[in-house]
Amino acid sequence: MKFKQRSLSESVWFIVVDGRIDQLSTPELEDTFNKALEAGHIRLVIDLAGVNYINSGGLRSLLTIRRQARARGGDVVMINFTSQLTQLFAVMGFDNVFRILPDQEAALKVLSGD
Amino acid sequence: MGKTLELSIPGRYESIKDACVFVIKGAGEAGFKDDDLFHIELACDEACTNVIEHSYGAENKGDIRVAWEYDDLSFTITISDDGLPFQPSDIAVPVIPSDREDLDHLKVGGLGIYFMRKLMDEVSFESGETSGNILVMVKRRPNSSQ
Repeated sequence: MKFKQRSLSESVWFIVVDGRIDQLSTPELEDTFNKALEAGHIRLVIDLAGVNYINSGGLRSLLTIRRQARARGGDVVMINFTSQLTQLFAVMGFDNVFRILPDQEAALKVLSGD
Repeated sequence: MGKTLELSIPGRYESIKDACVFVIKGAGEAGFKDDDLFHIELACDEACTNVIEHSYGAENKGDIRVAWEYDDLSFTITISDDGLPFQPSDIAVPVIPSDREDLDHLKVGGLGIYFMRKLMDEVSFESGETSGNILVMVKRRPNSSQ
């Protein structure tokens, strides 16, 4: 699993996830997001364009990350879903649990409170 | 015309991919494509993960036997283990709120079973009195009318 990170604005942090999210990669995913939160990046945009597989453990981790960000006064939005992920989240009912937006611009508007 | 194949893997997370590749190869033979193959792979992943976490309680405690078969109507995956008898009714059912701001009421216990039930057409568990479990998951074949 690979990650790329950078700021999108003064208060919004951007993380690109590339790879398969399963039981093997979830600890690395959690570690990366926890470090970002600990560094004060509580408004996160997660780009999942490079993710075409996520199991229930991965979903649980994303949910935990969103809860932790909100507990610190921030939030998490996710962008650039593949059609596979979009369909999976809809089947599972998780499209009502996460904020899923089309792109960076939409995510920035939501997290910046525009 | 049907076909059956079996594979045994060690109960380790890194081996689950082998079981999934084995199963989706069979599903591909049975005519499944795209999203259906993805869903069958995920269901297999969740089932094997459940065996490690609930039946064996940890990695490297025993093997997981995976078998698939298909006939004209359906594709069936059977996953068995020698771990502790597993009662799906003991696992909490996830509660998924309709409001995405209402995370406090979201409970995600039992998400693996929830996945299996959502992704496959039939899911059933059978446990031995002292050890072992058999999980059977069925998906209707494409273009099957039933």
